[in-house]
Amino acid sequence: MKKIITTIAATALLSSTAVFSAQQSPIVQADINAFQKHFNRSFPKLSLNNFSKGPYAMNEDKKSQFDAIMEFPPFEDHVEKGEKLWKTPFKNGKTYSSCFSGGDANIRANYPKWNTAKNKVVGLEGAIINCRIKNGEKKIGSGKGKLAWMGAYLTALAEGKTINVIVPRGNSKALAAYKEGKKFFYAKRGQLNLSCADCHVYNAGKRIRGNTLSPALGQTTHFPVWRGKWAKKKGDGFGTIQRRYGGCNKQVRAQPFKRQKDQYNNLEFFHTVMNNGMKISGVEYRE
Amino acid sequence: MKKILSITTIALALSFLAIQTSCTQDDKGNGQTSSKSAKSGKYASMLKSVKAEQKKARKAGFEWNTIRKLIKSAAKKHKAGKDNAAIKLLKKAKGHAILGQKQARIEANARPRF
Repeated sequence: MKKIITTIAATALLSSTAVFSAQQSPIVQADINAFQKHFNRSFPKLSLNNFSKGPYAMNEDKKSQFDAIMEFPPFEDHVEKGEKLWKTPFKNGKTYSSCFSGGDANIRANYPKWNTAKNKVVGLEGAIINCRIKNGEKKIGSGKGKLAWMGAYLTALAEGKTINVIVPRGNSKALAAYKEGKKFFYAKRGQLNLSCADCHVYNAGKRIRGNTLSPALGQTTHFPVWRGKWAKKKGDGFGTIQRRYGGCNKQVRAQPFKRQKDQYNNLEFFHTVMNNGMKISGVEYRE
Repeated sequence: MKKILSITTIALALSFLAIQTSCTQDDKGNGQTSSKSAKSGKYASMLKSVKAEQKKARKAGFEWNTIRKLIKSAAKKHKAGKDNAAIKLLKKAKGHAILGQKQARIEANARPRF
């Protein structure tokens, strides 16, 4: 009888620990509420998931342009290429799926993740690169090309899933990484002295030359994204969110950071956490 | 005799003039070389101090992307022998590096305004 009680108690304790580790830090939850409330107040007509359409949710002409492009998306070939790459086994016979748990369709909505073993944030693209290295394959480019295609395939698979990125309660290192990301987001940088928030929080929806500034809420629901601007250059149009961060930093005349390193990983962590509760909108077109 | 004397005088005067001219030219050349090397030294020391400030800004995470471009342009000017213009660009780059550090100090406690 004693043994049974001890086993039940141990199981209960372990399961409660598991639940505990998966809980969002209350500080972070308060930040999420304040962030989403700000956008709700600024754009009372838009629902939470409307924000994933970015500037297209704020301008009817732009929305019709977006809808026309999305009728025959110019990026489908590359998403299919991404699927093929994802499913192609490594030389050792394993596949990318072997590095992730919970099924391919559930991967995207939970990244970036706090890696307890490494004590740092790992983004989805970083995890894909780590998976290649673990299985004896070479590294691949970190901002576009094959990596972005595979990321886009996972985003397409995860369409409709809810973003649920956790900063584990009681984990001070995870909270510190989150705070670093938050500081990065709100700090003015570069010669133009602009922060991410200056454009995408305080002035979201306003015009900057011919473009409408997208709201930070909803920006992580559709990456890797296919951009017309990127397609005009040498690439195929696809890019990861960290490629976009680099582009934004250059636009304010700040020196961009290396991709898949702490600065952008922490920023992506904060940025995605702020979008918790929103649905992944799949691969999309942007200007 | 008179003829010989006048020819000798003219010859002497001409050779004296030639020597004097060559001496002046030598002096001028040395002066140019020494001022050129001084400017080149100034460029090198300026570049070193710009890179030191740039490193501080980078370490703070607030390096401006204008600095590398200015250093590159300065190197081109230096190569073309336009050291004054090169030093002017380096001074600008140093200013940007210092402003980046100042920005890092100001933004140390960045937080939302809503």
